[in-house]
Amino acid sequence: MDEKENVGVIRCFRCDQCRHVSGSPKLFCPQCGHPGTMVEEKVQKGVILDFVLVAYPPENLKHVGSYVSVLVKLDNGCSLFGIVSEEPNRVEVGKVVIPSQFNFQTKEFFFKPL
Amino acid sequence: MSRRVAIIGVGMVQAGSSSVPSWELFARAALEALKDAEIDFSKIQALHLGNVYSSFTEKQTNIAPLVLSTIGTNVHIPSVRYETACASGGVAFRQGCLSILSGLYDIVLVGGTERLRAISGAEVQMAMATSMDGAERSAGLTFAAYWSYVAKAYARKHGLNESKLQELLAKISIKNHLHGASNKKAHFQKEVSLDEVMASPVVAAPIKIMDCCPFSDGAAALVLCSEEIARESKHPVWILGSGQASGLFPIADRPDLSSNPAIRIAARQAYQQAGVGPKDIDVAELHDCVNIHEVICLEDSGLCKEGEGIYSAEEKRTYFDGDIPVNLSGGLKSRGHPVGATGAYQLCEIAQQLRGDFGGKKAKDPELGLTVNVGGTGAVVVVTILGREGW
Repeated sequence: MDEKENVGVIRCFRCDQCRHVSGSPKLFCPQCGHPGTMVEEKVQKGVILDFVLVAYPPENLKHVGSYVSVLVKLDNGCSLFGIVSEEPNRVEVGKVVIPSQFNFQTKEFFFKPL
Repeated sequence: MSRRVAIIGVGMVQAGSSSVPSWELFARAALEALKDAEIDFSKIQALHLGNVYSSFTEKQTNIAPLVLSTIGTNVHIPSVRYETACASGGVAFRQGCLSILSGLYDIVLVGGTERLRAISGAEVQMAMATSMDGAERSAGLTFAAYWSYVAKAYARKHGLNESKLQELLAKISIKNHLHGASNKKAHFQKEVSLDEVMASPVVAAPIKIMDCCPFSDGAAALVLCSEEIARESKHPVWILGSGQASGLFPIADRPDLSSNPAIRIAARQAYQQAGVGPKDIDVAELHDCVNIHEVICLEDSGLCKEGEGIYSAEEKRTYFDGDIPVNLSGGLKSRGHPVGATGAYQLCEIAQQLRGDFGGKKAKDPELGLTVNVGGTGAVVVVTILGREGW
């Protein structure tokens, strides 16, 4: 996959039994205890559950400048944190966002409000 | 607990900025603890040391035996460094206690040490960020942002708007600074006003700078021993309960950020071992790295009911003369946060409260004290219950 095709692809845990999904690596399902599988899934959009304006970015994100940290529930059921750097004033709880950039190596997830 | 373990000596250097390395800081605290215990270092059988960042901030690993060599005698005893982020001091204490309960040792030295202020704040921030999930860190989560999410989750759950939340949080900082102002071992020995806290810059709304603790240099040490030895000491303080639990590491996996189940589990263990409940606790040191966390610790340890912790400082309940005296040292906010040593400071301070010789604001005739020491984004929790002689 080239970089553009990677946008929106996340690596997540999916339970083989109850289909519970998590954005962090696991061997067993925290809901039912059944083994699961790490899979790569393409997500189209998500909904902002909460957000925080980060006025002083950490060293690893200095290149971004100030940004909004967002906790997003993705359309595959997975929750994860990401960054909104474009149009941050449009960020609000319940707003639909779409993946705009994703760097597999650095794990930087960027979203933009729809 | 089947055997009994006691604290017979405590020592703390003043938290703040140090010109000497962390291992030398700890050696100084250790000598104070040994003097307090009225024993010679040759009696110590093992060292359990909490330290987090020496590899980043001092370019030095393996500092437990370095501490022994710095003290200079009894250098061949077993020594180990524990790293569980901000809970390292509490974990080192607990491991020392367990080593005596196992029957292997009768008398050990425990504690923690940290030196953070010799390098730039940006470098410290980078080092500290490694204690949270690396993937979430890359995805833009910072410690300040994490505490902001926690505060917002708490406010949503309990129907508080942002300005009311900020005012109630500010009152916790004011309370802790009032306490810390009379603690000669505190980093910031000064009171602060509501205006000062409210006017401080926002780090990540609703959290302001004056809601957050400083990074400090510091070291604290305790001498622990078996009951047989403690009976011969002048002022033993008994370790009645010690609970430890882990929290979910990735924040996004947690269903509710307004509470930390790991604190509840560790507290339940400690209460069960001690055979007491939250209402029996007379004084507490809680992990107020950010003041909203004092609220979470109050509620999850059972000292306050859910939704009441946020009002505890405003209602003066957590003041030294209130019904739940909390952080009479000044807490992390005013005493300071020498990360790997913080849990050890809390235990020294509660031991002194129970002995009646704490050098600052005192609780009224306390018999039982509790500490909550939390590492990283709540991923490691140690809850300890101490009792004065007679328990």
